[in-house]
Amino acid sequence: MISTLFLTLIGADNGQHASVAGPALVEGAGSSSRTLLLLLAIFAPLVTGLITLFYPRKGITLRVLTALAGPVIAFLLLLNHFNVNGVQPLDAGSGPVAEISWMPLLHLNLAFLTDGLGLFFALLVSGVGALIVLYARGYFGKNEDDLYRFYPTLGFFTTAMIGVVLSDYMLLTLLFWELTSISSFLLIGWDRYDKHAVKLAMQAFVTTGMGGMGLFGGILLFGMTTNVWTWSEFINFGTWWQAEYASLAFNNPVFWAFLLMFFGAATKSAQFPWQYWLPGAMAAPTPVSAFLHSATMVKAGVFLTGRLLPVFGGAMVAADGLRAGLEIWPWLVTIIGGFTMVLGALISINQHDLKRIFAYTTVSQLGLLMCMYGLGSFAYEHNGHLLQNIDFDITQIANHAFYKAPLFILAGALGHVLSRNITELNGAIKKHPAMCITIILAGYGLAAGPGTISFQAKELFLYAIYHLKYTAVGNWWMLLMAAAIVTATCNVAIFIRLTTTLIGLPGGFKADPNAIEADHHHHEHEHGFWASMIWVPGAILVSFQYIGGFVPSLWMRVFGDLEVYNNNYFAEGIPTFWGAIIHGIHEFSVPLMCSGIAIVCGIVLGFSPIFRGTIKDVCDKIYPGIYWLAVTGGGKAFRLIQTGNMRHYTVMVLIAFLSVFYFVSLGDSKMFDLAVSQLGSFNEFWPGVFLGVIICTTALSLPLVSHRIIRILLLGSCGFTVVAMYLVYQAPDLALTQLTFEIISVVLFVLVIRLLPRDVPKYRPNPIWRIALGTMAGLAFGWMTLVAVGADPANKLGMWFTMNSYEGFVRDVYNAGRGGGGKNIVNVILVDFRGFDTLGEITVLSLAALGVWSLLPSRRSRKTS
Amino acid sequence: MIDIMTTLMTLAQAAPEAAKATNVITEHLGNLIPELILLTGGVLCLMTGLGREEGTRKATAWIAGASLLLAIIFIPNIHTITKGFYTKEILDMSGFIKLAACSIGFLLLLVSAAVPDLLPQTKEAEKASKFDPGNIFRGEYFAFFLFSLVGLMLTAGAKDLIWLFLALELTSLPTYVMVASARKNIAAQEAGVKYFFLGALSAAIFLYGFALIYGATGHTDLTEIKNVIAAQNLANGELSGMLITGLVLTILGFCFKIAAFPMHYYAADVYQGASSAVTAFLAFVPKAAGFAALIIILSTVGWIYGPEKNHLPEILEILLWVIAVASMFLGNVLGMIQKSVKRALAYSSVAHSGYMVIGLLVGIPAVASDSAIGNGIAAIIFYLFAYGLASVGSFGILACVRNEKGEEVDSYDEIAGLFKNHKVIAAILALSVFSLLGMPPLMGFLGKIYIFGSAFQAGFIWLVIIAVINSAISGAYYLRIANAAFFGKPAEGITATNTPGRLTGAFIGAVATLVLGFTGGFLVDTASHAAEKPPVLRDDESKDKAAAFDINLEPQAALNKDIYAQ
Repeated sequence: MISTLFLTLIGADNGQHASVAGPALVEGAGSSSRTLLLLLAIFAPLVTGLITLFYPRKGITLRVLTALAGPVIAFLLLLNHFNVNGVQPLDAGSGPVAEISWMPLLHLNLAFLTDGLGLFFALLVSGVGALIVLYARGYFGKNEDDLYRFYPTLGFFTTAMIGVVLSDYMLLTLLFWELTSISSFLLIGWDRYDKHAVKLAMQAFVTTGMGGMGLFGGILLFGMTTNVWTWSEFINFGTWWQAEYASLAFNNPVFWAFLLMFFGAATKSAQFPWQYWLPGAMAAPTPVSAFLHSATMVKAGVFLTGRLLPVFGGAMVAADGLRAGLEIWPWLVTIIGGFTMVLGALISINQHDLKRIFAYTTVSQLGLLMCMYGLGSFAYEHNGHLLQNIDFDITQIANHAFYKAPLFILAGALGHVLSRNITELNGAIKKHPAMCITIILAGYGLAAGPGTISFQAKELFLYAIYHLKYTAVGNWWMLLMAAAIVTATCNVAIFIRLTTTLIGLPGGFKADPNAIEADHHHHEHEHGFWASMIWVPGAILVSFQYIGGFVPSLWMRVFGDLEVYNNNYFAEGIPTFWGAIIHGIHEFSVPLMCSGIAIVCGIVLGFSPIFRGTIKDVCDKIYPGIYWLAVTGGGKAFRLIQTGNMRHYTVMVLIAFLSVFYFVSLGDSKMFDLAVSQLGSFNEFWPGVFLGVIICTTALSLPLVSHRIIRILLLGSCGFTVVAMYLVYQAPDLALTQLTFEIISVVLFVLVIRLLPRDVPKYRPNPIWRIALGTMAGLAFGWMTLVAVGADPANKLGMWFTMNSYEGFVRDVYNAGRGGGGKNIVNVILVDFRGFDTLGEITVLSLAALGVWSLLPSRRSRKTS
Repeated sequence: MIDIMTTLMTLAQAAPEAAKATNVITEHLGNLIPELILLTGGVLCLMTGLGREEGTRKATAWIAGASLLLAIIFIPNIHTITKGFYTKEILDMSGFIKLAACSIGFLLLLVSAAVPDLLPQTKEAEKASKFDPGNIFRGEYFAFFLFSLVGLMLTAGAKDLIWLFLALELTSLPTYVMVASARKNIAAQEAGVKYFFLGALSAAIFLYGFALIYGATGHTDLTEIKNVIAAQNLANGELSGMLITGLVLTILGFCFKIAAFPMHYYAADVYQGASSAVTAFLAFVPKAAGFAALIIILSTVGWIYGPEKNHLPEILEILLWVIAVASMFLGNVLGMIQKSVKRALAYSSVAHSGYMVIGLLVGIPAVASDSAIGNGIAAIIFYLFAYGLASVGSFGILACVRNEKGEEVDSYDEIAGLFKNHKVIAAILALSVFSLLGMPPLMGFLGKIYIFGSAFQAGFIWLVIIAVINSAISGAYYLRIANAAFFGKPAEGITATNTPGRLTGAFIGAVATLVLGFTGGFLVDTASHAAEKPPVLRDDESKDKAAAFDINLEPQAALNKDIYAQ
């Protein structure tokens, strides 16, 4: 496997991708080259990024060109794929997905799915990625240290992101998904010495990483339930589906799997209440914000939702109308998306930092996209046809990328030359006309003005909301429409304020000398081609907006093939904006009216003096709050249980042990009965009881005396009573052993303790619970002993010894036994049954004696002297 | 040696038929060659460690390494290594654990080869004009190192309760001394004492458990125990309270070895007090032994209940559930708030035990599925491998770096900005903690898929949800370590020790997590095969399984050869 990977990578270096012929490890050799080519497309950005590491630090132009080659190769490969093989249709069965086995046992293989959604995202990522490489050159200037680190990391991210959108195996998607989290972490915490930035990077990582874990759980749960591990099989909606999967029941694993997956999508796409990480991620350098946090990575969640839509959300099937998905989908996705949309818009208008403004509008737009997929699970009747309530989702997503990335790019550019604070940009157009015109053009896209593809996209979205009227939702569509109007109003107002400020018209912001928050990044100004790269990529991207707006047929030529959701209503494709307006006025269209209201309100709001301050999002407190809670709560628990004191540890262990023991035995009445019945026969032999009472008394008096010597003597008396116990139970050999042991131990203890320092009486807190604990422990062990005594196993080792010791018995009873041949069972056990033990013991003892003899001081001193 | 002899003899004598006894002895001796090699190596180490010439003494580490490598070759069934990767020849759990013990043991040896050299008492004794063998710690250290590994390997192959007990103690006793090896370091001494006392407590508890199990079944031979338990279960429909109590005590006692709740208290103190190289050893060897013992003991009673739900008795299931959940939460939450990296990693060790206990609950399915996911025991042994490699990497790196006082680094501030001056070291550390976190494409990720997936398969959905939440929590401190190493402001006076072995060991460990993350399929395969049947089988089961196994082997092996031949 690895060798193939290497082959592919080497192919990427030389550009000889077509000639790579893997060994015969590919199932379905016909399309294996396709998989290898896609693998090459995925890894090209990473490889070229890594190659730049080997260049001399000063070779900046070479570095830029090499880093550029990666996304460009990927883009061309994907484009080629797009033209030659066509787009893989949604319901093409398992499709031409060639598979390279990686870990088949874990359902993790290399296979790629290039349906419209995946291919579009891959093209978007590689295309924007190439422009970002150029922009980074303009942004970082000739700062070789930054560029040295930046391009490999960027390549890493680009690879991970293309991998997410193209992977066919769900677990492969997850793998790349986590890699995007890591690379995002590295890029947000770009300024290593800025503790705040690193903290924000951590926040983003923990949030999206948690979502990734959710996705992991969801994929596992889903795969285990249905045995579906690839997206192609998933989308295919095959025989694996069972009707009960759709239900809202709590014992429905697919329901939980969906919730977990959606959790992953929602955190990645900054949906409420996890939207806090995205504005926080603005600590990253602007190329990163423009790439990851507007156009690509944050859309991974939207992408995932789009992937899940045809099954979990429902899809049109020619035969029987709309095939419904999970019951929860329409409500959950629509409501979370709609709420995030309006929340993001309301916060965005109350910001001053350009990047924060655009971050919150991104949150808002991501909410819109989610909401769009939520609406997609409804269907409505039109001219006798049942239609799915979603149109041109790819256009919506592309539209956002084509105005938001330029906005970020230009925000970075303006921050570089002037300031990122909108209040300080009054009249900037005089100094930097190109940048300002570009940002205004992009802002016009944000406002969804007629003439941009954004206008038609917004109309499509409003139509989708309006069509809720014909579904079970009924008149509640107005609520969502109101939210959309508020969102559009805020976007228009932001555009108005941006434009008036930059041109220096009345209504714009005036400079406020108190609040200066310039971009962290400054380098010496340069001129020429590379310097212009700080705004040209934005201009290139924004031009798509106007192409789509004025020539939608051209737009459809590019994106139409990728679109899956294309209702009959729009069979001819997206209308031109004037067509849409004329048609709308003619028909007295409600959506058009709503968008008119939004534009008027937006203009009014834009010039009005309200909502001009800055506010903070409440959700910003979530992560620090949880962190604080964990640290404080954890600290409390820590100080309580991890004292470092041996005695406390022992107490903990005892408590745990006792609770388990009592839990077990109280649940089992037989054990209690057994112990009681054993206890009941205590009067069988009175000498034993008498001795037992003596043992207990001496043991119980131990804690009451404080003098050490007396304690040892008490222990000794305990032991001697045990000796007596052995004697009355007729075990003289044991008694002898025990006696010897007791004498030696008591003497040794007394001798040693005399040498120890005086025992200082210590303050002992809480004796009561100690007594209770001791009693419980004693009871438990006594109880266990009683139970053990009561057991009567069929086979006892002692019995076996008895029967086999003496020669005469055994031969006939157990044919296999040979008999010990002795008369004294102890002797037989020692020298026969455990002969090797005894030999070993003797050997050890002799060796030890030899050692001690060699260490004897008298001998050594004689020798040395 | 005495332990083994005793066990062998006990086994031989207690067996009801003499004919069977001889078979058992020869069979066992045949399987014990790697252990015998290591024991011989240990004894040799003891002798060379006391050598008069410095050269002889320095050879001790080499002898230990050579005996480990030799032992790997003689692991049963491993002789079929022909094409670089062995495919499926390891057919039982003990073989897999022995392989893990020897290979990770070798890395641990690389990491800790310099421990005796760096001890102050050894340095003084080496410099002293007078020959002072008592303070040169080489012989003891490497001999104990090997003995402990032997203990682990014997545990994995245990067929008898007494054998199991002795093997476990053989694993633990040397570690007590290894922890306290730095005589002038008070923290190490304290750690040694704590470790010893709590270890003795745990040994007492599980020995009591063994006694009760013996009392309830009348056998020390595990196969016989399993037979009796199955018969009792058939006759009464439930297990006797004494047996359950014995099993509960045994599990609780083993929790010490695996550093899981409720016996995990020592972990943080001991891991921090011991020198980092020894900590790496503690994190892997006793844990592996504990899990091997748990698998063996549970397989006598568990996974025999019904055709599709092959679970443990309910009480044990509850107990293990609590142990898993409590260990995960305690480990991860407490790990998050530590100021010391070593303590954080110690708590992470507790949490990892929690993850692995989930695998014990899952067990071995009665009906093997075509997918590897589903066998909890295979998941555990694979996870142990992954955890061992990553902990060698992380603790090995901590052992490599010294602060300005010449002590091992411990706090986040001290490892801060490591990347600036020690790029390789920081990269190894990051790889290792990412693998511990379960970040794809590292080996820890595979391990987590394996365990969580198996738990899903077996229906422990809540456990998996809890485990996933815990994985997310654990991200906080693993990332904090990586974050500090890469982005922090470098601390003053941080130096790397001049111990190439240490760095090599950590490097191999970390790179292995990466490489095996990509190519670990064969290891997953081996693990799933090694754990296809429980280590203890009833008499009737062993026949059935053997027959089924022979049939299964052929097509699987052929398929595998195709996949991994490249």
